[in-house]
Amino acid sequence: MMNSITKKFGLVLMVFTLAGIAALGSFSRLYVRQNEARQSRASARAMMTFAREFNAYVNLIGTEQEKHQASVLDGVQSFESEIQAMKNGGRVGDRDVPAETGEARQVLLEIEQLWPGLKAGLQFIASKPSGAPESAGAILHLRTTSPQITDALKRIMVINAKTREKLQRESTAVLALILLLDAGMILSCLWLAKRRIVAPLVAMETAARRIQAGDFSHRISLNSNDEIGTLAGALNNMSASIQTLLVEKTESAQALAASESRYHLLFDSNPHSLWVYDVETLHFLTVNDATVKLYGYSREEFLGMTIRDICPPKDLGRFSGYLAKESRGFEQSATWPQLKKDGSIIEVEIAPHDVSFGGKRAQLVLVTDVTEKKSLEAQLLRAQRMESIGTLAAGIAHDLNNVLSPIVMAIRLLKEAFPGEKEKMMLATVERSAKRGADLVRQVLTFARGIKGERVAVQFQHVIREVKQIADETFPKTINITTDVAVDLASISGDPTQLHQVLMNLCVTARDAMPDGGALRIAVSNVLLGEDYARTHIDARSGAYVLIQISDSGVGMPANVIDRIFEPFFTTKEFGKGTGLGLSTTLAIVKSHGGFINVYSDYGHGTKFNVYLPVSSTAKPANSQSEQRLPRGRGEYILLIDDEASVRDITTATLEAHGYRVLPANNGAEGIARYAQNKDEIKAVIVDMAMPVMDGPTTIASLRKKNPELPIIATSGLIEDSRLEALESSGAIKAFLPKPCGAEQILTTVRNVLNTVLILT
Amino acid sequence: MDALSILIVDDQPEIVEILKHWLCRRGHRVHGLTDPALISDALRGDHYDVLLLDIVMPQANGLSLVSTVRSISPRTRTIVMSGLADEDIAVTAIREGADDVLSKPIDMDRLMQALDYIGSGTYR
Repeated sequence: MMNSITKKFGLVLMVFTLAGIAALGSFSRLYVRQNEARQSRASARAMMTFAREFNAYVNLIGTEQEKHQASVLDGVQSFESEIQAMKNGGRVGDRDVPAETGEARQVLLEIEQLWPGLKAGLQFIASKPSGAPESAGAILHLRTTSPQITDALKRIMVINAKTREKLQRESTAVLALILLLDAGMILSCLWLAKRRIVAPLVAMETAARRIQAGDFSHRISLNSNDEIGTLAGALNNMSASIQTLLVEKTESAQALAASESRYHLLFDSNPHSLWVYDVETLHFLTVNDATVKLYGYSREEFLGMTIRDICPPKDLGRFSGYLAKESRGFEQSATWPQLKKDGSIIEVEIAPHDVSFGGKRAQLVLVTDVTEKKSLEAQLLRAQRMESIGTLAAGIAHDLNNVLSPIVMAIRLLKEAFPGEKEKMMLATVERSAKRGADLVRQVLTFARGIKGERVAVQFQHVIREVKQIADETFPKTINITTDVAVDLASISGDPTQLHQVLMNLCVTARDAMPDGGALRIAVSNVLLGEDYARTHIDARSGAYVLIQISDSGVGMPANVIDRIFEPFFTTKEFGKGTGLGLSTTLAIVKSHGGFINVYSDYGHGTKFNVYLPVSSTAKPANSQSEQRLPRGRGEYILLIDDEASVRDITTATLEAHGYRVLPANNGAEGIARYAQNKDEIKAVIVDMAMPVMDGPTTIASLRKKNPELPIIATSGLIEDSRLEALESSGAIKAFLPKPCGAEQILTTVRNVLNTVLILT
Repeated sequence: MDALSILIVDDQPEIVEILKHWLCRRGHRVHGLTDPALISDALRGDHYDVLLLDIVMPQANGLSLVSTVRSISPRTRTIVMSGLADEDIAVTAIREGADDVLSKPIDMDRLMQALDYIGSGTYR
């Protein structure tokens, strides 16, 4: 690392260390020199002491002199050692005396020159007895030399003091320099640390905090290549990596969520019921919307249930056994009964598939509701069986008729040939039997070929009243008969006698189902059957019907009996008690009226027959004769306002074919406009109640504002439209046409409305 | 009642025999056939006031015979007999030109009534 922070610090430290070493070097040298100066001073002092001793000795007289004689001689020796040491360097006592240099050396050389004289004088004085006159010359000499030496020594001491002072100053300077270097070094390090360590660390701390806070987009901006820079770079890289990872993770999480939501969609919005259950505990783990709809339980309820709760108890063992079998694909399925929340049983196709769900061994079960399918299949089978029975019966009946014909016809001849009473009686018996046979054959033939009859408007109230009267008079008193007839019952087109027979047959069937008495109820009402109903009942078409319900509280019928009750000659009664043609004839009559019958029976609790007879739309198309009877127009203009194109077209065609002229309009607003343009020609208006742009009531109000006398006929698919009552009672409309309505109804209504207007005006 | 000449056509010989017997005893001149193919020859060879015709016969469709009979012998009244109690057949027969329709087994009183009408000229 070229510019590493260590190097920088190293460099700084090295520079300052070298400078420090240099300073310390000179400091130590100064110290040595100072020490030397101290030694030199010590030597000079010692010499000075000796010199003063010598002076004092010279001036001593008598015994005093003799007393000091030995120490003076020792002093001489010492003095000389000092001179030698100061001149050449050497050890005196415990001191290392450096050799004097420079000026001090010159002075020392002067002393050295003076010393031999002094030495010799002192040795001379010492060798003579005190006070000896021969010493006087020496003493005199000594008295002049000694101050010179003293003086030289003083000079040396001055030089030494100066030297020491100088060394002192230099030491102080060097010490100051060292201190300065230290301070410089510390400051440099601090500056370097701040710039190169602290600031980046702060930046990194900030970055670390932001990373901690989840911001991985932050980058530390550092241009250095040192360790900190590398660390920051590593931190940036880490941040970037985490960010990339996060993005990838987010993306993959999003992809996963998208995929999961796709599968959720596939599962939840699948039209088939799908559920997953735990193979061990049999608990439901998840169910889709179709399952909720199919079984009637909410999702929450399901999660607290097991598959035992949706299986009829008697099938439970086999059902769980079927599911528990080895894994299969969805292509293998079986039909099972299932229990709905409301207690009803549905038929479903079950296809299980082994899966793992949240770590549990589970099965995904595909459920297809085949109740409707099975019911339609059963209806179709029944219809086919009825048809083949009809064909068979018709064939047999025809042959039987041929067999019976000669018998019946011949009896008349025989009666004439055998006039005797006994023979007449026997022939009458034969004739009765043969005629009964022939009647039976005729019934079978009518059943097989369908029944013709007149078609007139039948008010069911009257039929019901008659039937109730007969039943009240002839049925056992233990049977309580009630009727419930809707007030505004629609009339149907049919044969009153045949319809009477239908009701009578069904009442008799009900009576026979209640040998110990019970309740017989006859209810008649208007119903509107939708497409859904028509799709699941092969005999039904959508439209308006009159529904006749005949229910009893009798013994009821098992399913296998219900299945066959309309077959000719099928009877549960004792042999000879019934022909088995009552219900088949009833069905033939209802069918010839375009209607159908549903049977509901609870074995042991009663039976209900629902007879549906179409109000008008499915009535037999009018033949040429009846068409001629239909009231015709005389070129009157009729304004027809209806948003349904098909209805508009048919109504227009019907009216135009019968002498009217029609102005069609798509909606209320258009109708008003057309009326404004053709005010004088338009004689009547037909208005649909439910339309976009401007609805029926608004249109009617607007038309009446323009012409209060204008005859208005309202039409609606809703038989009970509360708005209609208000309009009718207020006189705003002259008539009402329920949808769908046939040509006859339209033409009659229009004619009636126009006639009323004619009479009024 | 005038005596009538009557032709009976039915594939069941028993019916032909019984009717022949019954009508002869009432003074009518009666000829019986069990094969409808022979009707045309019979009508061309002789005059018949009344034709009693069974219309569901294996050999020919009785209803088409009604108009054939009218074209060959316009003065012959036709009474159709049908074993199928079917209103449509009756209506069609009348449209084709039949004068009456009787369902089988024949009610003898109804037959006598029909012949009375023809004899008294009610249908003319």
